[in-house]
Amino acid sequence: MPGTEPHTDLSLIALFLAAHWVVKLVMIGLAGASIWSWAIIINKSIALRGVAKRMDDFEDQFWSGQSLDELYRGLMNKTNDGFAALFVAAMTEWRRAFEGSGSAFASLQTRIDKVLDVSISREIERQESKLLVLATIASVGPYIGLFGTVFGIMTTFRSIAASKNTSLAVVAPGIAEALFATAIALAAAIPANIFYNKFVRDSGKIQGRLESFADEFSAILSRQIDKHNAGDRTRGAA
Amino acid sequence: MAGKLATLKSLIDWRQPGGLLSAVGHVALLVASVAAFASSKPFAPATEAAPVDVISEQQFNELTRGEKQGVKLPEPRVRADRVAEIQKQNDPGEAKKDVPAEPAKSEPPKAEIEKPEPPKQVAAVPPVRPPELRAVRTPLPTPPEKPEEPEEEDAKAELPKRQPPKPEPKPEPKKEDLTKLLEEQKRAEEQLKAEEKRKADEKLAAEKRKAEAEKKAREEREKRLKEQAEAKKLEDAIRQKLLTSREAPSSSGATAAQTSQQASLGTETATGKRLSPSERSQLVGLLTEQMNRCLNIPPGAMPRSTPIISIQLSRDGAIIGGPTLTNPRNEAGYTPFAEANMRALRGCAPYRIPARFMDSYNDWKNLSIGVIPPNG
Repeated sequence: MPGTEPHTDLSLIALFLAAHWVVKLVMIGLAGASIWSWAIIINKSIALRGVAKRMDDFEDQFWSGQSLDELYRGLMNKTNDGFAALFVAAMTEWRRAFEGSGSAFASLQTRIDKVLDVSISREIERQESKLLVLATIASVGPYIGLFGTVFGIMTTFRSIAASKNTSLAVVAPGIAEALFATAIALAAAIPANIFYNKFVRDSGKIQGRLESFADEFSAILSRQIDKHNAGDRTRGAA
Repeated sequence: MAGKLATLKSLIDWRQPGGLLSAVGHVALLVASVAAFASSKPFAPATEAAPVDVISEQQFNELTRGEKQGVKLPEPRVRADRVAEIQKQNDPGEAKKDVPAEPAKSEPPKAEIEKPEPPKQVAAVPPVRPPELRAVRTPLPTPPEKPEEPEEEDAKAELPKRQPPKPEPKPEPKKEDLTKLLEEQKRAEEQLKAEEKRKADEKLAAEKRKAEAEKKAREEREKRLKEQAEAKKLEDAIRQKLLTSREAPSSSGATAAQTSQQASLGTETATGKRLSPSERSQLVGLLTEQMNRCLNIPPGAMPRSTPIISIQLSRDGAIIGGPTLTNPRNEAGYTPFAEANMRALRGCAPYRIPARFMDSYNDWKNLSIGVIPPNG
């Protein structure tokens, strides 16, 4: 290629180095956003897969006919998530009622329900953490890229006006570098958007499972409470 | 701060390898894309076809030639046929006319209020009657002559002709034929009477028709006269208007601040019409023919090559430059031969040059003549 064009080197690095500093800043920011969003995507998918697997395992254990107290003793000193967290929270409340005086039985059912609700919301919160970042990158990324592009084209046109040369060889590198910003933005925003949707749906599914488990477990505990109350009364009558 | 620490810790946490993986992946992608976009393939250069008209040098000279005999003015001017109108456009809201500001009392008043002088050229040019006016003047339609009157006279003259011819003098009647004659006369009289009656009827009808025709013709004439009078009135009005109008004569020439009829100047030395090859050989033939009368070649001066002698000629055939030998050689007899020819050229000047060569003078002003040796 003859050396008549002002930018003979059209590699990406040359494009980046030739850009205006605002455009450079936009490009760096978008590259950072892309790295961050992919980090979140990888971590989140690993975490969600782990939670789903542990929930399956716990369900198997729970319905295997094992004693609940035994199960509780096994889980008590671990950091738990999913069903295990709910189970431990509810069992802690249950056992606390037995440790104190008998009068604590009166509203035990209500307290257990409250504890279950709180644990569910804590679990969901943990699963949905950092999804907001993905959502922001997905929605705002293209705008930031567009800003970089517009700015780059603006500076290109200004330099065209200054050089009084309208040949396409003068215009093209500036526009290519400006469009590079949009390309980075799209590369960051598209996966962020796709995985954001996937994660929202996955965590919604987990929330449904947690709620149904909480209801079931609450029902079981309620039966135990009623049995205990009936025993108390027969003992009182005797 | 704590959040940042957690993020940094999460980078090296094996259970959350996302940050590390993502960074590594992006670096790999960047390297790959740099490699992929290392060079961009240029488009094949598109050649544009531009229409080109080829003109000869002569045509170009004809195009660029100006007026050779033009007088050179001290200051070059653009040719202009009329003075440009000065259109002043005031800003909206301003007065249409420029009202001179009141002069400050301390200053002498006449410095500012000087009105712009009207352009002199316009005043100097006598008002030319516009062509429309000239056209109007000539074709006044002449009123048509009255064609009806002679016809009328003719009709009157014809009237007596139509009257029956006079009866011939009667022959002397004989006695035996008297009764017969009487009878005949009676019949003839009856016939005559009938004829007379018929003729009278005819005459009456003719007179009636004639009166009608006359009436019609009169009406027509009156109408035409009226129309003519109206047309004349209109023409008079137009003429009056044109005469009293003060519009400057309009023309659509080039405009400038001053009129200037000076054409663009050409040079005397610019080439005009060129000689065709046959014309050139004719001219050279004419010159050599005239020159041969003065030619006296010294004996033995018979070179092989042809000396070419260049001369400058004036319009009337006199030599104003040269002759010079353009190709001197070291050949036996060459220089004497060439010098003899140059002497002859000088001696026979001025040459007669036909008038048809005059318009291409610029082409043959500097002429080279190749003198071919007799045996060469």
